[in-house]
Amino acid sequence: MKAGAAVAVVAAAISFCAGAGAAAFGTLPSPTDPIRSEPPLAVQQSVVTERRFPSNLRGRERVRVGVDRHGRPVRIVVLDTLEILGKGDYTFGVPGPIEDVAASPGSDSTPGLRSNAVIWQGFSPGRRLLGAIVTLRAGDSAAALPLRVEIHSAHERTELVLRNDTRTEASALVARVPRQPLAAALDAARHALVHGEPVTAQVVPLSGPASNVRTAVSVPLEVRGRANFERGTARIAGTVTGHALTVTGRGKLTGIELEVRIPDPVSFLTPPGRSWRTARTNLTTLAASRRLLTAALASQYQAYLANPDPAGRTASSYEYRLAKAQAAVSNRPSHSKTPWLPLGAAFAFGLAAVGALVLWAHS
Amino acid sequence: MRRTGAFLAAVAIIAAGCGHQASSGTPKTLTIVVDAPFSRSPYIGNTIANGVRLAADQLNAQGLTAGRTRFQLRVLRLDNALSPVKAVADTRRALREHAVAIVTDGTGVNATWQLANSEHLPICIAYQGGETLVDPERRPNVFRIAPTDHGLVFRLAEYLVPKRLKIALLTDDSDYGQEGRAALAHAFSTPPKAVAARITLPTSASDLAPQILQARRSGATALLVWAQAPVLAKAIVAARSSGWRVPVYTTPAGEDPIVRQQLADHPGWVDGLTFASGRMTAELGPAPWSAFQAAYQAAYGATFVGVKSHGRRVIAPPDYAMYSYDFVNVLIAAIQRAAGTDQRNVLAALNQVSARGANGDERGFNEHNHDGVVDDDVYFARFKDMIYGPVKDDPLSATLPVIQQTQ
Repeated sequence: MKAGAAVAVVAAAISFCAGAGAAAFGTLPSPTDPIRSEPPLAVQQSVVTERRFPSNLRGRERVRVGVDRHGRPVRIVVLDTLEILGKGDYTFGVPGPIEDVAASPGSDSTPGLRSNAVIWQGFSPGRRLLGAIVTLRAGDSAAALPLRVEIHSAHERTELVLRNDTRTEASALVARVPRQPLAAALDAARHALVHGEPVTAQVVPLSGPASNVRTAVSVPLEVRGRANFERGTARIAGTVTGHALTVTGRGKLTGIELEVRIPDPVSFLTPPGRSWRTARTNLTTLAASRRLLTAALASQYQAYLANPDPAGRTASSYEYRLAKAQAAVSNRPSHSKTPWLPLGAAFAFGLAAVGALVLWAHS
Repeated sequence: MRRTGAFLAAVAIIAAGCGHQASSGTPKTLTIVVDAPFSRSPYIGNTIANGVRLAADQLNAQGLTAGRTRFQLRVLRLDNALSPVKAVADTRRALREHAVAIVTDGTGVNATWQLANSEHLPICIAYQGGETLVDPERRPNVFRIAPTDHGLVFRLAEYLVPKRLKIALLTDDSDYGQEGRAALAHAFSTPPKAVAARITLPTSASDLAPQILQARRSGATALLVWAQAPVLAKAIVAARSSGWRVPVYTTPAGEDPIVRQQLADHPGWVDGLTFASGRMTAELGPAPWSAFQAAYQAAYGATFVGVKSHGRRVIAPPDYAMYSYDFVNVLIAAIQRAAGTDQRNVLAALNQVSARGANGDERGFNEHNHDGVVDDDVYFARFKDMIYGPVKDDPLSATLPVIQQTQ
């Protein structure tokens, strides 16, 4: 909201300056600044205060989503791997709506758990692989998933609908800008993304009036896998964009195996030739802004759980499976009161009382 | 005049009543019990107690509040004499005293934790590293700030196996030695070729020459001794007096002053003794540790080992005092987070808080791990001229400074 307001102010100032004939500049979106609140998953309060590591953290995440027979996520587990390449102490937390955590096979260390955080602490002798199997509270995490699954059954047929859930709106610059600075800005943003360097919002000179528009942004999702129905299997391979991908099968849905890949953010800034400066394509500020915003959104979905290193790179992939009935229940021991224990006790007590009454009557 | 005085007195009483409890009245006393072997292992007992006392004094001087209540810490020393029976009695006393925590060397925890847990009373182990002592699920009230046996053997194996030594694993028949034997069996099960022999050392034996001879005949090229300090000293005497210059590796028992005291007549026999322990300094540098050491020595004086190095008196750094000191700070952070001393809330908060440790690192526990010293923090030090310094052939140890040990 604040960012949008700031852009509006900048746009207004730009319009004013342009109208007055002064040298004016506009600001393009940054391909790394978040444009929606999640992902990475955020929490209100985390108890981790210290953050230290000897080198950048490289992250890899496999997000495994179990959906129920309606398609609702009921179990979300992340295989989160962080790699430290450097010698020294490390101590940090990975925030999120964490329900439970365990070390993954091959991890050089064991993670700790606090309210809303996975804790890592130790010494890296040069390289440390930190692997965690993180179980999330599905209710608090599902909204940040990229793909929504819907399952509709009727008349011996089942429809599996896959919807892109990454759509959001963001402010984009609409202005007349000389081609070269605009192309240079795109090239610079791409170069920075490729090399993992921080990218700030870039300023371009305006050659006419400017305005600020809200534009829809979404990340195309590459989906592969299959859906198993009682009578037949449907193979799925395609890109889910604004339109839902629908698969219909005969009988009930018995299983799904979907792999969802988020495109590399760099791919949205790849020029048709060697560079944007040398490319012979028409380039507008709106198109450039959309590319930058899509890259920013793709960067967000590359880290479902936050990388504690703001300069660290993370790549995430997502898997969707049909959860078994029991998987819908949390695997953590629940402290909620179950009615069965007191009911059972009451029943046993009643039975004993009747028995005692019968014995007494026959004595 | 009288009316005015009565009015002012009434106003004063009302004002006093409206004030926070934190700003009036005497502070509530919180008792921390130190249950340690003061009579049987005074070095360990006093080190633990002094760490607790130092933290308590510093916190009292700062002024402690949680919620709206002011607190003052009191330290009660109880001698368990290395006896689980006495530890149980001490725990009952701690419950009667409404203690907020027990800090112990670890004696009798297998027998005391349930008793303490009935009142949600936290126990912190500040010396023993046995794997079974701490279990966040089964023993939610037991915490530890001390190197674990798991960490020590894991790091010892990591350090020794690449050296292609044939190691004789020597453990004594005390609880400490047997815990170590179990841990070593686990860590050295994968590279069986690295182990030449597994030998038990009787703690009651006055001479360990037979066991050392057995190790020598097994073809061992190194000894890894997991035993109480006096037994370790006897093992070194047995090896060196027979002319065997085999390298000896050990646990934190190696830095116990008893070892050097018993070998004072042959200082050269201590040279090369390498032990694993928790590091004293963090990556931030030695300044926080030095400040802690200075405060400790100002309060209790230096702990003289009783030997000299290059003509100067050798002192023992208060490394284990750091652990009990850190626990008190974590405990107070938990009490403050719990906004009071409700034991159930304090116990839960202990899983969520950290405090700045004596060496500058953050110290704390979590829901899955009640050990405040991570395995990675185990380093190796080697003796030369009765003082020790970090080894250079281990990535962590090579980064650590030498701590001043003479005065």
